[in-house]
Amino acid sequence: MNLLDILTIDCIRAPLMATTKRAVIDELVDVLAAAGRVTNAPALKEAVWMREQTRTTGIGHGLAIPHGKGAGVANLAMAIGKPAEALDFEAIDGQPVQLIVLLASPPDRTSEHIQALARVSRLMTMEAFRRRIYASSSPQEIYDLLASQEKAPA
Amino acid sequence: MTSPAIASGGLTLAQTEPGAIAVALLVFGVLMCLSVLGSRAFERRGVPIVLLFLILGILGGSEGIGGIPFENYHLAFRLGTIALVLILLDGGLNTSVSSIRSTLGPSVTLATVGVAGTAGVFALCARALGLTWHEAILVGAIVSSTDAAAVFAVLRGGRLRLKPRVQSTVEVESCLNDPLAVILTASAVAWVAGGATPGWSLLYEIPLQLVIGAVVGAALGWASVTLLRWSGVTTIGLLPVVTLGSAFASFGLATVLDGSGFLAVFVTGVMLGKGHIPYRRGVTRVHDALAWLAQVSMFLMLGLLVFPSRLWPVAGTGLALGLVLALVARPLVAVLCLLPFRFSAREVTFLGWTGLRGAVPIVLATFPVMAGVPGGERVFNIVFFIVVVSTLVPGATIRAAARMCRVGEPAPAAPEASIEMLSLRPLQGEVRMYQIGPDVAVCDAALREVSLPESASVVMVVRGGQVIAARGHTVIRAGDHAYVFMRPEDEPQVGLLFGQSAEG
Repeated sequence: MNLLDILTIDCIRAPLMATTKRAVIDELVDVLAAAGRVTNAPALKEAVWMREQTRTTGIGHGLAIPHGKGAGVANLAMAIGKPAEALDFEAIDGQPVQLIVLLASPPDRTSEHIQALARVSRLMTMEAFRRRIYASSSPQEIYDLLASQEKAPA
Repeated sequence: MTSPAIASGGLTLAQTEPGAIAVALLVFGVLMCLSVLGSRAFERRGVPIVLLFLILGILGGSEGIGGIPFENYHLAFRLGTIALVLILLDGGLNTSVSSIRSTLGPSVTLATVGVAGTAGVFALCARALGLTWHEAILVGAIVSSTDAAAVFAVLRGGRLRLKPRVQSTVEVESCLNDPLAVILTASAVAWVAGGATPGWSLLYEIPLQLVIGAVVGAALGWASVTLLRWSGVTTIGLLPVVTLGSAFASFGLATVLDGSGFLAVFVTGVMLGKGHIPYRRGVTRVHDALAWLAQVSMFLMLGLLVFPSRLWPVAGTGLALGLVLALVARPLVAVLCLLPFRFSAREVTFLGWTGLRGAVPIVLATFPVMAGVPGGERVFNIVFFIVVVSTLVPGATIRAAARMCRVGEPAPAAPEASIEMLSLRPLQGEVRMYQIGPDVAVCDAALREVSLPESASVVMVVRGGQVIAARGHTVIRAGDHAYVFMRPEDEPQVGLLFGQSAEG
């Protein structure tokens, strides 16, 4: 799984306008919709929010990976948002979140969906990488960082 | 009918003792078994099982069919105290730090201001109903706290689940408010007995006692966790002995230092529960059993202590006061206490309704009798009625109340089978259970598609009554319970894919 296959630079927003958990999810889904990756934005918002109710996707160390499956998603898509200020995502470690990676998947592509989730969460366990991506301020910077990581042998 | 122990009083110990203890164990054992047999019928009606034990105790007593003479208030107080220690230890073990933290404000307010307020409002009502000031204040102090044992029995024994914040408020309140009721009762008894007039000193003495109790409890809890982790005990049966010992020591030390022993025990329990002690689940289970044993024994004993013929004269007053407590004093004070905390009107209504009383007031009611306060036995009998009424009324209606106030939650179905890892040493792995919801990423995925961290693996899937081996082609469905083995530090990554978990 190469994350660059599912991420385009127009799906990265830094800084985000939203300042709450729910609004951030809505904003990132709208980013995917604007890029033509999602046709039914309201349904996807609801799916991601429902998943969030099961258990927060704020997995600690300042990262949240909200995700959901939706009928209006043709191919696995990813959006990244960097909040203007770290925000509360009810993360498992109680820390505010500095980067939100949203994954949208077609309902029948569970395998890719899971691989992408695992890939993002594993990538972000590298502390040096995490620090650099949290320090970056523009979509281009975030994209380049990911690109350097995805091209390097995993 | 008299028991052999009394009838053969003139004989030597060697001749009487084996028989006496044998009869006592026989009768008590049969009562204990009977009470458990009846528990299902009670549970179905939502009546706290503890009342059944009480009734059996009365039946076994000197005026019932059992004919066991028991009028030793001192012994009842001592055994009752030990039983409460066991119950509060178990309560602490099962209470997470996060639930305490999230409800600290409301539960502490209910456990302090609420207890004092309930005692006050109740005393006024009792005076209006014809009790003397002495009696009214004594009874008010005695019945002022909700009971941990009754609350845990109803909330955890029954299949009732409340919204987490409501549930932990009720539970944490019931564990924290006994200390204040003890202090108030002791002061009231001292005052009625003609000694010290309670002055303003109570205003700093009470917080001081609570602080001492909390500090002693935390210190001994920490020491006990450290001891268990580093002592390298390999005999599993000894572990609960250590945890039990630390609870006893905690109660004793705090009380000797003029602190609240009951709070100390609860805090020790919380520390033990959150500390990574070896074989934790096994140890917790032992304490669950001990807490039940304590409850059964305590209520049977308190039943034995009651004489129906002495109850009748106070029946009317007792019943009326029980209703006053359940319908007026508790709801009024609870509503006022909860105003500053953002609870919905329905939640406040529910919290006001669930002021279950239990064994604590009955144990406290032995105070005035032991102190030789005039009318002490009358107080004891009135308290008995109040406890029965205020346990029966909210207890039997708690489910309906939860429904009406919409504070209940559909309890997730428990898996039909489970796996747990038992280990003496803290290991590098654990098994966690995930209940699969339709929204999580792994739902409808075959296990071979689920990329997990290197040292994690799904080990079993439970679907309804079926236990399924975790093979590559096994597909995870909504409603399944999946058991995943992992290193603790990998849990966030696993949880991202599987959703909500409970320890296996």
